[in-house]
Amino acid sequence: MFCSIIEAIKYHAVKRPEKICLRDAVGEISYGDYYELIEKDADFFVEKGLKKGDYVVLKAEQSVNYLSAFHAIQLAGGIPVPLEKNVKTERICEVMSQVNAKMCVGAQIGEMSFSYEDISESEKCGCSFALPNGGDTGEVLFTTGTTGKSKGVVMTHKADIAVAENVIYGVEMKKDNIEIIPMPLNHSFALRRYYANMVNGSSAILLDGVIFIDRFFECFDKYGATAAALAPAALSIILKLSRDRLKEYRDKIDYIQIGSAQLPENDREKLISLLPRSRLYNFYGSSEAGCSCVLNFNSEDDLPNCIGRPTVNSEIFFVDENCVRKASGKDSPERLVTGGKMLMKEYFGDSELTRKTLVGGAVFSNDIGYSDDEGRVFMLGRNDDIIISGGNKISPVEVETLAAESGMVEECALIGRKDPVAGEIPVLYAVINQRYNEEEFLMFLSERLESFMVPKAVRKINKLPKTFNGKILRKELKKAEGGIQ
Amino acid sequence: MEELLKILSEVKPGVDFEKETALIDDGILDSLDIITILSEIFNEFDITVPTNNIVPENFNSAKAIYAMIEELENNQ
Repeated sequence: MFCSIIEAIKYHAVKRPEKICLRDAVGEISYGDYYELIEKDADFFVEKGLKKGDYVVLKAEQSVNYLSAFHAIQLAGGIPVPLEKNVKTERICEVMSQVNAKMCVGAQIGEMSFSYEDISESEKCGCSFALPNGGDTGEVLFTTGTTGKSKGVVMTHKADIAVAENVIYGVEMKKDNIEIIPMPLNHSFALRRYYANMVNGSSAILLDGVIFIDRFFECFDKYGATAAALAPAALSIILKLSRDRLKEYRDKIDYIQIGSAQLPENDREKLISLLPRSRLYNFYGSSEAGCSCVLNFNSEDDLPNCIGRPTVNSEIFFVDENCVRKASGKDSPERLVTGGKMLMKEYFGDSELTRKTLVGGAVFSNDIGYSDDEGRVFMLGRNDDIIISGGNKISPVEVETLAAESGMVEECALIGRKDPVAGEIPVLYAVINQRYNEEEFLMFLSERLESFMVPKAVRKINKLPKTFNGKILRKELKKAEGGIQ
Repeated sequence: MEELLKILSEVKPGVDFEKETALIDDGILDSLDIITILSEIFNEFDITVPTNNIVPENFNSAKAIYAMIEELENNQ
């Protein structure tokens, strides 16, 4: 077993140096050349004075040069802190100050700033490097802060390996896998799919989004792609722009993995119809506990609210309100907890939050769910999204899934509105379609749900507020409803 | 061109679309903006932009987008 992603790359560089490792907009690179590039870039950082434990903030790119610089910092003993490619200067300064960064790559902030061209044009000077220890910090991933304040998730090298294994075994990745990764490489979703391919010794194609749709399909036609890692928003763009074109690739696509947000029901059904023989995965997890459950939603495990089964390095269990481990069931859902080798080390500079989240070596989520006798895990919603109306718990996901099945709404989100009598009442924000008829819609829900779960109002909107990767911003809707808690 | 500039300003307020020439390269327009622009081009000009025209060069400036619309108007 490898102790770090760099060790995996080095192993494949020795074993199969000619094997194509990465492709970006500029061209392709083999494992042998990639590891050499990482070593050369590490020389650059050492020459510029990088010492063990120094932090380096990088503005992410969808490029080999960015990833090489990322690993070079690790090889030189430093700790990369990647930020999104369109990050504002103020945000870079804020993070640099927070981690006391020694250097910045990809943006001009202070004297110790370098462009990717500076690094790429540097000469190799032949320093020798020891591979990182598994227990050392590998990187700090700053979350986008959609659930509040941005948090720095500290990952060790061995945790990166464990997440990569969760992906590899989760998707049954083949050795000759060629995976398209069009999502931003500062984000845990894309970064971990890249890690998985590096540990597996397979290949990744880095794309800058999917909007330029012909480039996405070119990856199958010209470069033999066999898989893709997509956020729901990216899949939605592909389906909107290309309609049924994915169907032409039904015999080429081994799997598509979706992550980082819930997939809208319509897109999910569409994908299954276009790729009936492909494996279609949805991962459950977080930056703190990566890829902890996996569901092939093109299989018999695709049951309502099912998030699949725990991945190879993950253990899922449930606790009650006193944080005591408890058996759970459909009628007695509890708080979901994740244990395993892939967990984060801590939150950067926030021991209080670390203490609250990482309890006894496990990550306590805010999600409510249960597991069945078959080992499948079901998730009913976030603890803070659960609506308590007249003492009854309402799972937004359950109502939203059913609303989508009515065929009258494209997508929707159920939130709780403060109510002097019931505490909260459910209100549905819906993007309706031409078939929508309010009376019929509410009748459809009433026939299938307990009465307290039926929305007391339906607010029609043009689109739901979402993050860049498709997560619904429920707080925005609660604000609009005038009841932000 | 005026209709297009109006569309662009509604999609992304606060950008000088008459001057900007790197809307994609500088990340001013993201994928969701482009989806909205494509839909507005359909509504306003009755043009469906084929996927082979959805390339960065055609969306880097208002001028480039307009040139693409004109070309498609002549061809469709």
